[in-house]
Amino acid sequence: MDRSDIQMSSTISLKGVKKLFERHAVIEDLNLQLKDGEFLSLLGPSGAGKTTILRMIAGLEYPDGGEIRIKSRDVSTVPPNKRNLGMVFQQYALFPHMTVWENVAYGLKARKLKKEMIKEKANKYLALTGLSELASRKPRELSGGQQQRVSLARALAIEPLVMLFDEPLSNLDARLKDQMLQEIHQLHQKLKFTAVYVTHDQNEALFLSDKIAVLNGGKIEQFDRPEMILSQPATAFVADFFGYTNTFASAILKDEHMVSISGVELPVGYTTETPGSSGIVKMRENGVNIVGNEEASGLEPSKAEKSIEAYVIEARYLGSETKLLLRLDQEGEHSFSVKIPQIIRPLPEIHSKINLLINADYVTFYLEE
Amino acid sequence: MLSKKSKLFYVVMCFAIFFILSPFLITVIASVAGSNMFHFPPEQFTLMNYKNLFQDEQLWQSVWLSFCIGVTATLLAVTIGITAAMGIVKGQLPMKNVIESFFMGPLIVPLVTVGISFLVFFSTFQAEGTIWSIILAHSVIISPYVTRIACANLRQSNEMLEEAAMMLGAGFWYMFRTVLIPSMLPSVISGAVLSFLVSMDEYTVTVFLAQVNTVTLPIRIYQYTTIDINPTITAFSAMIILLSFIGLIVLEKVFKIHKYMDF
Repeated sequence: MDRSDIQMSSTISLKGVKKLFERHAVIEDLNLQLKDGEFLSLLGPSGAGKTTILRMIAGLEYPDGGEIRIKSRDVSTVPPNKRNLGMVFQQYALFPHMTVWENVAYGLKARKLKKEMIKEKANKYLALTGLSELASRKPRELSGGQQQRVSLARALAIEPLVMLFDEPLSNLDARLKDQMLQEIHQLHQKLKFTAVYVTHDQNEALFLSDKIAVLNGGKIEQFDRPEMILSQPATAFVADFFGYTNTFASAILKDEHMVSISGVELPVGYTTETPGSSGIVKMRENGVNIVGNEEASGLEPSKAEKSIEAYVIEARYLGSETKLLLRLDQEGEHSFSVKIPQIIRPLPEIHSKINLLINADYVTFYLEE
Repeated sequence: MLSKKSKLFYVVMCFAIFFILSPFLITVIASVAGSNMFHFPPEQFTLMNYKNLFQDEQLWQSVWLSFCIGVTATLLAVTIGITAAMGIVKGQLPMKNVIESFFMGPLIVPLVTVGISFLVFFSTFQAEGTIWSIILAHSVIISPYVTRIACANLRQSNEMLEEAAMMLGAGFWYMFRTVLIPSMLPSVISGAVLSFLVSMDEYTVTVFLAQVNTVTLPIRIYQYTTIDINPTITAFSAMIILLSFIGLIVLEKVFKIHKYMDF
């Protein structure tokens, strides 16, 4: 497939998109392609530009350069009401003076559909989101989760080209969040809509998405499938965002599978750098075990594992895990923390030396930023 | 604020309330006085003034005139107020503060000046003294009350609702009609009521414009107490006092008007 073919088959295409804020570029040369029916998450910390990108796709803001195409139509300067997109807002944005039914029917009425058609579609999407019973209530009589479901039904009812989500779950508590996550996923499986979902929560992104774009400072750090982002984070920033929280500075890449940190050698699962370069190592907190503990933890030792020595700074229980704060050598500054997925009894003594099995799949190497 | 209020505080407060309310009390007493209405305390009591009140056609004509002027001017003021507020709050205009001050102008310029200006203005069209000249003048004077409330309402309104409506395919006018107007309605109504009352009460400007066939209520009342002394007016005043108290209580209960009273 050549470039133009990709262009044709994608529902959303952003090309060289630029956005200025007070003459300062917040988004620069952004490129993104999304196929029909795909679920894309824009993931990043606050200020990464993810909401700005969503608002440009929505038409609530216009780009200062580049072009946005939806179903191969250039919509860069088309107002939002002419784009036929559905949007779910963080604060629900339900019309307070209308009932649930009127909220869901709003987009259909604005389209001047026939009365029977409005009734049929509104009722259909109310049923799909499990709101039929609440149709005559006012938004203020509903819980947060119910309100967000109305917002979802309202956006779906217009049968939009793309569904846009602006951090829809960040106002819900953990239990409701899980439930809504399930529901959005099931609705996507059922209706096969194309979606762009903005979030700062990597778990939401991983759970829902076919593709994730990790954003930092208005730039895409990595745009890939969830399993690729998890196993092969492209940059130290992405690695950090997906749980590679330990950082070792001044490391030297010995070969493709081995890195040396102040003389201590660690296995490396993923890097794109050439041997001999110096940089930083990122390592997950899990994927580590204490030598002699493998059987008890049920983890099979594999070829990718390597045993190293480390010194205990602190050892505490955390839920059903044991959290250890360690350093690579007795006086060195290379401290790191690991979680052993088991309650270790007794806790290792402080300053004692332990042998650790490091899983290479959880270690990555990058050049210094 | 005084956290622990002293006895002195209550004494001063009672005195202040008495000072404010006593003229009303005296008016009510005067309305049932048998002799000269300017004599207090009265020597005998009668309901004569109330009987005359309901036969005084001149007075009721003025009431009707003021009512018509009030309603029309209020409708104009609501139109001016909402459109001005939309421009000031939602519009992308340069010097919005200046424009807002301009629309607040009638509250600031001395009414005598406004009255003379309108007289000169309408004279150039030979329109002074017509009912429409008074309506237009009133709508200018009272529009700030609506503009102010509509601006405050739009500033607090949730912009996300407008965005949601647009995302759902609503054009500007559809959104305006279905989202903005319903959310503005309660406060605009209370602003309109306030405007109407100001129009009913307007004297200073109207006196420059009024002629024999356009004597509004406040001017008629003034005539009854100065030029053409008529004690009927005390009964009328007593009735207005009663209606005002009822009206205030209803407004406060329904619209919480004290929120808008701090300007």
